[in-house]
Amino acid sequence: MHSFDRQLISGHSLRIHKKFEGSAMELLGETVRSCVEDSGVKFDRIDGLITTYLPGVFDGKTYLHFFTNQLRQYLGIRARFVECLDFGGASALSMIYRATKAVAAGEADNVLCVLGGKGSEVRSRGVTVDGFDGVDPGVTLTPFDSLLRNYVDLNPVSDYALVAQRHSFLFGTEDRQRALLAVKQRKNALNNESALYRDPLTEEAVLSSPMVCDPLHMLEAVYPVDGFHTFLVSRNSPRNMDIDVLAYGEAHWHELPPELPDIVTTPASESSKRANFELSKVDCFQLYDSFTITVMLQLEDIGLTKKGGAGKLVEESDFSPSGDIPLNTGGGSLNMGQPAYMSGGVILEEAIEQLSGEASGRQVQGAKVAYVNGIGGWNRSHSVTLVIGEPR
Amino acid sequence: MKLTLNGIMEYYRSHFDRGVLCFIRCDDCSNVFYYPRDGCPRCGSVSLTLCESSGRGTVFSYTKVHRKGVPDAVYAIVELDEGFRLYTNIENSEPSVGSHVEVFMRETNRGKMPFFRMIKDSPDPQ
Repeated sequence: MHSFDRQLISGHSLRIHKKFEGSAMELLGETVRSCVEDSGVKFDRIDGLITTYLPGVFDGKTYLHFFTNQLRQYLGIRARFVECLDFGGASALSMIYRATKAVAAGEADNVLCVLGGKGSEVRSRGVTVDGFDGVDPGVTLTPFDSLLRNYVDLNPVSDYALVAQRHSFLFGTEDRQRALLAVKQRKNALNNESALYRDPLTEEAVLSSPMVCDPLHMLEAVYPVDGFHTFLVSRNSPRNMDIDVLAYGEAHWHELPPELPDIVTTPASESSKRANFELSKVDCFQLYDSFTITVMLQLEDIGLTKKGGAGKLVEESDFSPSGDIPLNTGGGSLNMGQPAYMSGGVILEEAIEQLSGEASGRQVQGAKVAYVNGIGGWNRSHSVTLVIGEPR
Repeated sequence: MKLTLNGIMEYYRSHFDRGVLCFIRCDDCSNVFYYPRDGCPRCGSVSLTLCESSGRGTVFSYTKVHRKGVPDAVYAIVELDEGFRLYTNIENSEPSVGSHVEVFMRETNRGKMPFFRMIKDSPDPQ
């Protein structure tokens, strides 16, 4: 069924490699062409671009001056609407929202949303994207780096480890409960042909994988890969999918984690309230999964359980596509890999595949509403809640 | 007189050189914070006072960081007795949440900076 006079997702595509030998621009071009082909929109009708980037992920470059120019110059897009968002993985969800707004307002007809890059370029330098100041002093992470960057850390892992440790202290959350979440997500990945990791996984294997920052083990953390996700939002394209934005909320917190009342609550507690969507009407949840603890924080913050209840919820729930809480139904980025240190495209793509009936082998039967929540920043400053589904 | 960022950093550095940790108190809303700003991040007031800390506090959370080619280190958030918190490393320790710690200064490539160590014979954390 086609929808007209609506601004909806007309195309989507992804390309993910453990390591892509060519340039990030080349991988970007391939992903965009596939997305545009999927949409049926003529390439020269694309008149909008929303994107984001992090230091290092475009062929190791620290800063690309006039970033949206550089992408458009490479791809060949003459635009009347461009925007570069700046909140990591959660940016992907805002791209869709803002693209639909721009198209509805007549500011553009076809807005291309792009997120990705090459994680391998950062990894090969022996740092994470949040430690890139270690290889380029021109990069700053906060306005307080002179007091902050004198210590041994491994952010974002170490910062999330502080949260996991405190979560255990306050609520008695156990390592095996986080491990069980990783196991349940892996079970979902077994049925996803696109997943990078598709071997069965046990709690014991998670808990015996190397400790990165205690209590977080290697198999509780995403692996940074090379890849892009692209989405096209169009006005009246014949291939527009019946997927609309049903609810939306953003929250961007300013405190450094030590300055928060506590570190176990994320801005998802606020963005989800702003979206204010009845959870009983949701058919699947796609929650940002940079680490096991990230998912557990969101299970609490969006209201699926009370604060501190995630460990028990993980034990008691069936997260499979036919379960009581279908969660990260494609295995999430823990099993897909995290392109360019941002998981937002992974969870958004899975939501779209579920809603369009394309989730072969892992389809949530009759899925009409997907609840997607993204978290951004090494210190969880950003949260975006996006509920998409059948237009009302 | 309104604080300047340079003035705050000068105060911090001169105190670090003497082994003293500092923080900022808002005269209007009593907010206490460590990371330097010339306005209160809670209420926006520019009526701020630079203060000296006792340097004693407790571990709010911690993690042992395992990095290739670098000795294991404890990365932590410490809550000082005056109520503000900061990121730091805790020396040679197996801390728990609630462990008592005290500041000491160590030379870094940015000059003397605050690190923490466990206080011996401290009461057991809860």
